[in-house]
Amino acid sequence: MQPALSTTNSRDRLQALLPQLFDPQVLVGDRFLRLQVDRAGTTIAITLEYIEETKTLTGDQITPMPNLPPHLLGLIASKGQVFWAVSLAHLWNLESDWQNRQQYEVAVVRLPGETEGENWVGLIIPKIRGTLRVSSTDLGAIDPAIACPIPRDQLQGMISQDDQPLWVIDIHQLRQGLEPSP
Amino acid sequence: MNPSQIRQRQPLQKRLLFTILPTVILPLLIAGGLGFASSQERGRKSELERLQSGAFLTKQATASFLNAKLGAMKVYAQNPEVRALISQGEVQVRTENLAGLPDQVLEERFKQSRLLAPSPSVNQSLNRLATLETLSEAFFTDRNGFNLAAGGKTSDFVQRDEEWWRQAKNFQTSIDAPKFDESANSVLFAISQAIVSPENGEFLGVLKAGVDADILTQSLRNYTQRNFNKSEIIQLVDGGTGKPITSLTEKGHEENRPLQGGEPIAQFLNGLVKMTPGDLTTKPNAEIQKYVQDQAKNLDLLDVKVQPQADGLSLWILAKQGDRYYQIQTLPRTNWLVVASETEAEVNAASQDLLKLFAGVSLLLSLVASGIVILLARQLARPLVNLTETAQKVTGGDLSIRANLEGTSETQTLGQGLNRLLDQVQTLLVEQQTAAETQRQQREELEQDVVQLMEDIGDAAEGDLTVRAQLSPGDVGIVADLFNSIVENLRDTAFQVKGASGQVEMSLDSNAQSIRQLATQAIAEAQSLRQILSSVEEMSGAIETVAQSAETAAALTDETYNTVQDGSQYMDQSVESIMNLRSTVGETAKKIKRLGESAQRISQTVSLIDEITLKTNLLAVNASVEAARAGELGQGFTAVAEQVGALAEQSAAATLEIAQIVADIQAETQAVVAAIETGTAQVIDSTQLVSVTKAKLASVLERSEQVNQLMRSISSATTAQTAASAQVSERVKAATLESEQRSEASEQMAQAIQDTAEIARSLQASVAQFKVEESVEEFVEESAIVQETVNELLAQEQEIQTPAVVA
Repeated sequence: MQPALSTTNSRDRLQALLPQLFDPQVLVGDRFLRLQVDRAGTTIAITLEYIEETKTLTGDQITPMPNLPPHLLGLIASKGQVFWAVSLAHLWNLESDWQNRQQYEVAVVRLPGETEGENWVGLIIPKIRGTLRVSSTDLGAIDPAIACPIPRDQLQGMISQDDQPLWVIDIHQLRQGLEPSP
Repeated sequence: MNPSQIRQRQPLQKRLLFTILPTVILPLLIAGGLGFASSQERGRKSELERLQSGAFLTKQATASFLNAKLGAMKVYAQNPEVRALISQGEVQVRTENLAGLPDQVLEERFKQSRLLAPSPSVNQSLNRLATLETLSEAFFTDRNGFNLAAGGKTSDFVQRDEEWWRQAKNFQTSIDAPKFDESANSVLFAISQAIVSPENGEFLGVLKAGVDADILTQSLRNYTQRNFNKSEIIQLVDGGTGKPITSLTEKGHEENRPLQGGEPIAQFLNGLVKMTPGDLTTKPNAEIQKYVQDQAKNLDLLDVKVQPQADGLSLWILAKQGDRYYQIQTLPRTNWLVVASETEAEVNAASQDLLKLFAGVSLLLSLVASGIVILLARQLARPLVNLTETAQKVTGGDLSIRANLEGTSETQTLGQGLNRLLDQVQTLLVEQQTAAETQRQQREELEQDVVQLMEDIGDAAEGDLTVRAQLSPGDVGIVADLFNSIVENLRDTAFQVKGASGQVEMSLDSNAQSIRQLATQAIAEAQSLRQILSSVEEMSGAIETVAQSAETAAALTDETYNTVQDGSQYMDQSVESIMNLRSTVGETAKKIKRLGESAQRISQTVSLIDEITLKTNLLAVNASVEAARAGELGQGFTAVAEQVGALAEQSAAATLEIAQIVADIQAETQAVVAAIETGTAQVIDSTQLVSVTKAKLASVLERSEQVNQLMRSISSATTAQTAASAQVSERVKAATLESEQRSEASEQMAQAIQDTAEIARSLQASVAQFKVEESVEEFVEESAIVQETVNELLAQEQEIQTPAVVA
């Protein structure tokens, strides 16, 4: 700590405290965000490339709309955009207890459009588990022996880690799955 | 009533005098005294009023004298010559502006003539005025106080600083205190009159002149020619100096007489004149009275009044100082006062003549009344005195004397009664003498009979029963007959005794037999009593044994009682410790509850940490996203964000674990609370059980107390029984002793009866020796002795038999 105190520059102090920030190492592998989607602990992974942000929402920040399917909870706003809040548990008919919660955890995803730009959508999930760096070798094909509660056509692959399977979502398929509804 | 008592009383005549005389003379004296008292008061008052009128007259004369002089001066001042001089003077003063100059400068300037504008004709007319009005030194000033004209030469030119000048200017007139003037060889006083314009009342100046006091005195004497009393003095006094101007007495007027009453009166007068003339008219009566009271230091104020006069209000004061009464009156508008005084003796002397008259008349009337009363008393008392003398002679023994009948009808009746009484007493005395002679003769006859009887029966006294009394007529004959029959009876009795003594001997023998039997029985009785005694003693022993057992039982019961009491105390202690346990358990329950609450708070804190972890995680994700957008530059930041995310995940796991632990703690505390509640209920149950046990022990305690008491009562009863059995044994012992004594006594008695039988036998022998006709008397005596002895013996036997039956 002595060097940190002797330096007056805040940059120097930051450098002393977080040396890896100023000593970039090339980290290999793609990064994913892990999301728990039901009570049983089923976890999916979405590549961080499409993630805009993660945040928490209270119930009154979701504006409900009439004549909607059950997985569309309503409209939400963030960073100057208005977009739909989608409950993945409802979409995939999974067991969840998030209705009773006072605040929801939301992962805002940019869905790449085919013709125009990108579309934002808020995925409402029970728990955001954090990020994960996975080398391309770890990403494997779906083992049909393992039971999966999520429709297979939505998945890109799976990551085997700590006995628990991590289902990697194909973002294009997810977009198509959401497409017809609005 | 004895004569000494009579002598102590007053005779009738004196009594009449002493009762009637005061009732006549006392009213006379009281009437005389009352009449004198009222007349004396009236005389004193009229004398004081006379003194007052003298003062008033003097005052009025003085006032009119002064008014006459001042009036003349007032008229003179309106003279045209004078008015012209005044106008001329005014012009001069105005043109030369003299009014504003100092007095010393003016005196220096006019020291030649001391007149503003000398006018010989006016001076001459002033001299004429003085001659006509018997005045002296007349002069007048203008309105500034500068001399205008004068009869002679004045001492000053400027008069405005003089007191008299100022007073005349303010109050129209001024009268100075008198002074002795050597040049005129007389007392003078100055009078000043203001000169006023008759048209508009404007003040023009002052005219001043001197007056000889002798002239005033002369005038007063003419006015007040009246009868003066010896001590009466009327003085005209100047209040300021306290010196008299003139004094009028019985002898006429007196010059140079000092003020009557001296310093106290002078001070009082000085105080009175300090009141300004205005005070009397403006101030209320009560305030004036009070002022006068305050001034009267060394004299007694008797009366103060404010009297209206022709020329203003005047104070009339009646006072007393020393032995004199003073009538004081003020002269309005001056410092002068009139003081009339007279000695108290002379004031009171007015009523002395009346006293003499009343005393003389009362004395004369008293003497006449006394004479009449004495005469009347003598007439009433004389017949009674005569009667008394007659009665005294009769008491001395002279029964032949008779009272004279005189005086009133009552005394005559009394005399007649006395005479009749004396007649009866004489008759009675004669009858008594005859009766005494008859009685003497009868007594002599009786004496002769008695002597005869004594001779006849004299031998009977020596034991000769053959004598007989001679019978004779009368009382003594009856006595002789009675005696003869007695001697006959005696002889018969002697025969009977001889027979009876034989019978007595026989019966005595049989009695001795039966008494011996009685003695035997008594011995047997004593033996059986001894047996009873032994059995009673045995019983007493048994009772003592019972008493000892009862005491032992009582001691045992006492021990039991103490043990039970100890048990009760231990029970109390256990109740107390159970109660302590109960409170300890309660404390523990509270603490456990607090532990539960703490766990609750921990769980709240954990959820907060959980929240923070979530936020940190989201931040880390967002940071990664932002870093990824930064491309190559964000590589380092990405690494940090990943590490933060990993930390957040770890802390989330840790909080989950803490939450689990807290939940475990809560579950366990709840279990502990339930267990404690059960324990508390059990403690309450055991408390109740202990209470019940304690109550039972208390009842045991009570019962053992009762047993203890019963044992004690048994013990005390057996003790009483022991004492009773001891007493019974005592009694039986005494009875044994008594029966033994009785057997002894009966044996002795048998012996005694045998002895008696012997005596009876010897008695019979001696009676047989007597010849009846001669030894009857002796026999009778002996047989009487025998009879007595027998009676005694019988009584003893009766005594012995009676206790035996009772036992």
